[in-house]
Amino acid sequence: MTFLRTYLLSVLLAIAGSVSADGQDRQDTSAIVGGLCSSKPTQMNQALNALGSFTVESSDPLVIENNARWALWIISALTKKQLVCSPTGSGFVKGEDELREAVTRELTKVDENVKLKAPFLHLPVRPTAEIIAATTEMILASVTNDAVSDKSLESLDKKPEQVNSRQFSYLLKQSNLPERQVKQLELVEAYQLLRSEDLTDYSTALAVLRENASRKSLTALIEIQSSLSPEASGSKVEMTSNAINAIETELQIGQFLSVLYSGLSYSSILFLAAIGLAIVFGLMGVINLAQGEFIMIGAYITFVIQELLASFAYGLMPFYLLISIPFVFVLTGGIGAAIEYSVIRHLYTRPLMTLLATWGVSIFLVNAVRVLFGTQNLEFYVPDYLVGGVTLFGDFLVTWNRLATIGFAVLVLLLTWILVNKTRFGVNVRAVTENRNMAGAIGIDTRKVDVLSFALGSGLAGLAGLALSTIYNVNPTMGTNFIVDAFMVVVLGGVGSIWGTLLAALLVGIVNVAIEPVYGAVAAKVIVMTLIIVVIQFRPEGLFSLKVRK
Amino acid sequence: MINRRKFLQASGLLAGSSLAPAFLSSTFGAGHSGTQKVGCLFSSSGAMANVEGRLNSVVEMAVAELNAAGGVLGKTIETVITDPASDWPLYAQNGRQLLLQEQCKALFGCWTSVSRKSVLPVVEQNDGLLYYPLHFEGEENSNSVVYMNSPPASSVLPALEYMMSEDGGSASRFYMVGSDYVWPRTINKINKGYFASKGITEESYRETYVPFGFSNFQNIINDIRDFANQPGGKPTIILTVVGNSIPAFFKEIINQGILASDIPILGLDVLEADLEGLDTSSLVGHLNCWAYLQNVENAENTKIKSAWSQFVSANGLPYSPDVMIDPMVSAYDGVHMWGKAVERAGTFEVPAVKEAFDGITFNCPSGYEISMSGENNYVARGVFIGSVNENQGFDILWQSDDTPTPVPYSPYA
Repeated sequence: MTFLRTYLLSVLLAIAGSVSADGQDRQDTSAIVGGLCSSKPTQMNQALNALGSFTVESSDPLVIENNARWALWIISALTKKQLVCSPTGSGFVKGEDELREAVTRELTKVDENVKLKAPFLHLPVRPTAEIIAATTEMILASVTNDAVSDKSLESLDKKPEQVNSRQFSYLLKQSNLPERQVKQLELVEAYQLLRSEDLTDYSTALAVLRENASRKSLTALIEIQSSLSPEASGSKVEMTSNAINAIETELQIGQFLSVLYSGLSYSSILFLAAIGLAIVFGLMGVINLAQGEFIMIGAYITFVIQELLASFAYGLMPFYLLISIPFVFVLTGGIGAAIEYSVIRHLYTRPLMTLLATWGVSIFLVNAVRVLFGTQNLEFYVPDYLVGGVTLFGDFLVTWNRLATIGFAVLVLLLTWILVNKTRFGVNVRAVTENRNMAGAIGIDTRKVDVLSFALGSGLAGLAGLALSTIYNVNPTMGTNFIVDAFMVVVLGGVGSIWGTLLAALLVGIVNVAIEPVYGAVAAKVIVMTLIIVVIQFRPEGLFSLKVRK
Repeated sequence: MINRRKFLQASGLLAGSSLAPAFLSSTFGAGHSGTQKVGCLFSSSGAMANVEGRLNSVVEMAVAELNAAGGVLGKTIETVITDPASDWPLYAQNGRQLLLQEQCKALFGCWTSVSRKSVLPVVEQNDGLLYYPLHFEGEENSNSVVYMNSPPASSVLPALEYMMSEDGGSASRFYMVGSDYVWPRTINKINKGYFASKGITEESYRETYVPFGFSNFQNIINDIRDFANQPGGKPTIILTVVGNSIPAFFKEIINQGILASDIPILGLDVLEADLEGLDTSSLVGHLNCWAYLQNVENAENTKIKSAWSQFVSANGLPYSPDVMIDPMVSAYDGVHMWGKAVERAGTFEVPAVKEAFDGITFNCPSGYEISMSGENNYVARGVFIGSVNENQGFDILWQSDDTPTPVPYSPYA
């Protein structure tokens, strides 16, 4: 249908020549808008494809630019439900408080009795709209020499079979495209060339697909392989199976790496959640059940800073996470110190009481936050540099925000290690941990060390909250999700040991994630718990234990 | 645990301020003076708290409406609220307390099916009545439970049928992810039976389960990407994870750059409230199916939405005043349908109230007239398929012409 229409249209155009190109365009464009207004997926997809072809009807760059801009305007209005249609099938685009005619883009008014409705966007329409928008954007960019967004380029990659053929052949003829776009076009072309009889074309296609190994290219190749008749040229069969083997190997490497990466990322989160607890537990023997709530408070402080920046210094918004770091650390640390001073210090001689008291504190904090902010999940702005990721080997996707969390965990590890091992404060902390009375006897102010290290533990939990805010749900009860896992890590790693915490986090994280794809997430949790119980049987002090005089 | 003072404040504010004469006459008139208690079993803490907690307030609001209209049988209704803390056995314990100690004549409660299963023996043994506001897996027909929402045959299967149709994108391969408990497992069992009846083979679907509160979806979404690119037709995700796992799943979907145009998600427990805090511009087009969507236009809906936002601000509740979700409406319907049944029975006694169910109807804010038949304790509701929009809500993509008759036991299970 589409093909016939566009074919007829171009024939007509050729005949009409320059006589009434404008009138012809008008008719063509209103047919496109009419198709989009139909609310029927098949007709809408045809209209979208006609819209794509329409952008490259002329060879005049000015006309191309105009048409491409119009096409992008219409597609974005369609997907944002701003394109509204009258019952007769004429389209309008709703603006802030204006209405424009969809074909002419001119301001217009419609009788109030006419009911304007946005066409239904059924599932099959979205992919077509995305891909036509992407190629149109590339065409516009080839005329204006602008950059094309990554998102558009990615959508070409996802659905090469849906690219509009006329737009595609136009793009192939352009010589001024940037390298990234050329690569992307090559990939699209490779999928088409797989059907080619020509052996050189076929081998080029195979080479490109091998370079861009993914489950998708593998599927395409397997499909081709099964359609090759046994009598087909022997080299073609052999080439195909070689390519398939190469892609399969790469996919396996990618799969292995992606499990490892997920494991590392999960470990980094466990480590961040547990490190503060390890210090508090190790130093004072206080089982702080409110530790999860410090994580939550850290995330809420990050949120407040984000909101403040949004209202007072919008330009700094992309860096709000970095800006928040000192505030979160100092404020959660301060809250921790206040709780130590007001509640916990009275209970050092009664460990069971601290358990109850910190639980009470945790309930208090959860409800205080609930009253102040409400129960809903908070919305965090995710800066562009943390969205998406880069694909390495096969389908192994390195997501930026997880990478940032891993990096942040490493940074926290280093700073904590330096603080505990290379500073005066650290020496005092270690002295008090190993022998409180002796440390007091040689003049260390153990009270001060207690307050400060509790503050340090809380501050670190706050930082964990900051790092988690872009990955997990932030709501008043988020802390309870982490407290059990954090305890698990601390107990396994050995109370009070930084390296023990690190090792335990890595073990629990990676083992958990590695079991998941094989036995499922439920079994993974059971198996990890069993392993921990077994380890604790043989090493009750955990993997790393400090020599402590109680 | 029992929040009587809060209730008195709430009902006093609402009933007392605007409709004082009616309130007074109901209390002191006709010799029927006194109160009758009803109970709430919705968690306001733990994993389910984010969505489930607000149902307590909805019941309070609906009860205040009943009281403002003169109470039920001339008695003022009092709401007793408990917090089962997302802890399944606690639902049974609190339920027993509400029935035996507080003498509640009706309970409104439970979100997850596992919590309903936990309360079920308690209400059956103690002659209680539980109004359950969630759509669920069916396969149950207790005399002591009123199922306010739809079983799969009138919610999930119509949605699947749409997705497998040409308009819905001819989905033919399915990835089912659920929390590990009875609702997702039964739903997926029914789905698989349905697939078999449509000629979809075992290679075309995959199912996996995660523990409650699970949030690390990296592996599963990697696996989904892999599944989606295998041959055999259009892939679709059927999501039956619950509670905090829903936004966590969506966060990872956004993070890995998967759009509705790549792999659409049919989220069976996904609500407006789950989208709070997410950047929905990357989620536009994903689907859910419920018996009510906030964007439906009719007078009843306008009424309940404005009543809720007034109720939230008047009582300083920590809930969003302009989010109205299906279970809220179902709980609200439940209170009113209970009121109608009691009025018809002429007594609060549960066996007589049960006798009065046949033919009770209510103008639901969804725009359908919902009804109960004498055959079972299910309520016939309409069906909506919603599609995520950019404003953290759902546009109506499709809705049923009428209210399909509920089928408690699925032929596919």
